[in-house]
Amino acid sequence: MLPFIIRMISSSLSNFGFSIEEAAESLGASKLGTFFTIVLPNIKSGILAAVMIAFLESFNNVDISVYMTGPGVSTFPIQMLTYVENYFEPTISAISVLLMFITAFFMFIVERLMGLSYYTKR
Amino acid sequence: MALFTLQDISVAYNKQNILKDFTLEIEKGKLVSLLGPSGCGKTTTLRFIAGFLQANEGKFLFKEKDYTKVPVNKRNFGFVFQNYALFPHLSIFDNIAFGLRLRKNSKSEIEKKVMNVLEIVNLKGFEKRYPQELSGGQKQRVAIARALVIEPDILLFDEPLSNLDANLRENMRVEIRRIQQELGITTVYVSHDQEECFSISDQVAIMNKGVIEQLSDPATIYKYPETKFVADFIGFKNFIDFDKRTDHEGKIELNKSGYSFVLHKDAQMTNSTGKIGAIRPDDLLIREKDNTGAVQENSLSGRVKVSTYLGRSYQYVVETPIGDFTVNKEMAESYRTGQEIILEIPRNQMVLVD
Repeated sequence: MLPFIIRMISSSLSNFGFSIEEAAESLGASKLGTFFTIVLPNIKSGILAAVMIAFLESFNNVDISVYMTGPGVSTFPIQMLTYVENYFEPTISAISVLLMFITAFFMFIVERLMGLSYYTKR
Repeated sequence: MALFTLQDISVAYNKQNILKDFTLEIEKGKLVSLLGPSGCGKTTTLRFIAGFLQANEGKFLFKEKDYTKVPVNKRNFGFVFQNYALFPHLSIFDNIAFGLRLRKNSKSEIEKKVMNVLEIVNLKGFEKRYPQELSGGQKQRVAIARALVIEPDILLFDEPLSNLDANLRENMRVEIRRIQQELGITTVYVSHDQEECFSISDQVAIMNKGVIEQLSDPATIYKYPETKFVADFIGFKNFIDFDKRTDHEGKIELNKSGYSFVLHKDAQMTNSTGKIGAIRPDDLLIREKDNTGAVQENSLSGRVKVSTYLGRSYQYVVETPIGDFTVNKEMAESYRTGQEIILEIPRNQMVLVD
């Protein structure tokens, strides 16, 4: 999960190069100011895409969720798991399809943000 | 009166010394170029002046004040990058206004200054556009505008025209010089292009391996290079390592392998010890070998070794008893490979260098 995020954001960062940071500094911006006014706005798309991927990863990782939650606390995937184990209704199938669409939608957004080239950049 | 002084600066990069005991004085209102091949230290010097690099030793003085430890963002120096470094998420107006907003200028002042500088770089009407919509030359002008608008104490250019095509480069360098002179702004300009530096500078510093080999106005360097490196860099392709140099009143006598040459002594020839003669290919003379046997001044008998057609002229490599020479001659006369000719070094065309 973590390496994913790092990779996506750093590809955004490398695209613009640090000369615009130097440009901002030469015009009078502090290092912190440069981060918020120059760097952040330009890696927004990378951050958003990374958030989505991280969410999907975490969402799918039911075993870790089960491990990390205690009694009384539950996540949606855990609920789904419990449902499948205990009930015999088609509702769960409908939910699965919905989740498929949501995943596809998220990936679509990531593709629009990062471009298809990201996936071929292994 | 020097506005800026670099005093005995040592700058190292990755444990390698790029500059050592480096000294440079920059006068107010002048455009000084740092010219030299890749790796000579010119960009390092420029970035040091800007504050992007720290020196291990030495001092950087601005108006007599010690600026060595002053951080980049407190220096008020304008820097123009080779790749323009425009902020992609801001409009042209906001790009240029960036420095002014940090200086807390009022909104009306910002408006006035930005529009004024846009006019200076001939980009009026472009305020609302974004960097991605602009051509290379336009982006470069925005970069210049952005650096100018903060009314910097010095303007620093890092190979600003290298990414532009040849035609544009010629037009832009004239623009840069025009703006610099109109505003009288002290400028340091880094480039590896000799023509570019020579055409716009008040002074040129030719650098090699972290050292300034010669610092002078373009005309002087062009006619009187002081070292072999400088001479070779600006087009003197022929070098003779003389054995002996004897200075007389108004002329210098040089000897090599039994041949002697006379060189006209000019008051501007400041190099009084150099024993290497340098001549440009265009300045050597070739004549048909006549069979009178009379020996003329500064002449050698030689043989054409190679003949190359360059379009407007021929280029010959001539073999002589004291070495090979490259000679350019206009198309009117041509000599065949293997032909025996006389090579003459006119007495006012050779320069002595170290």
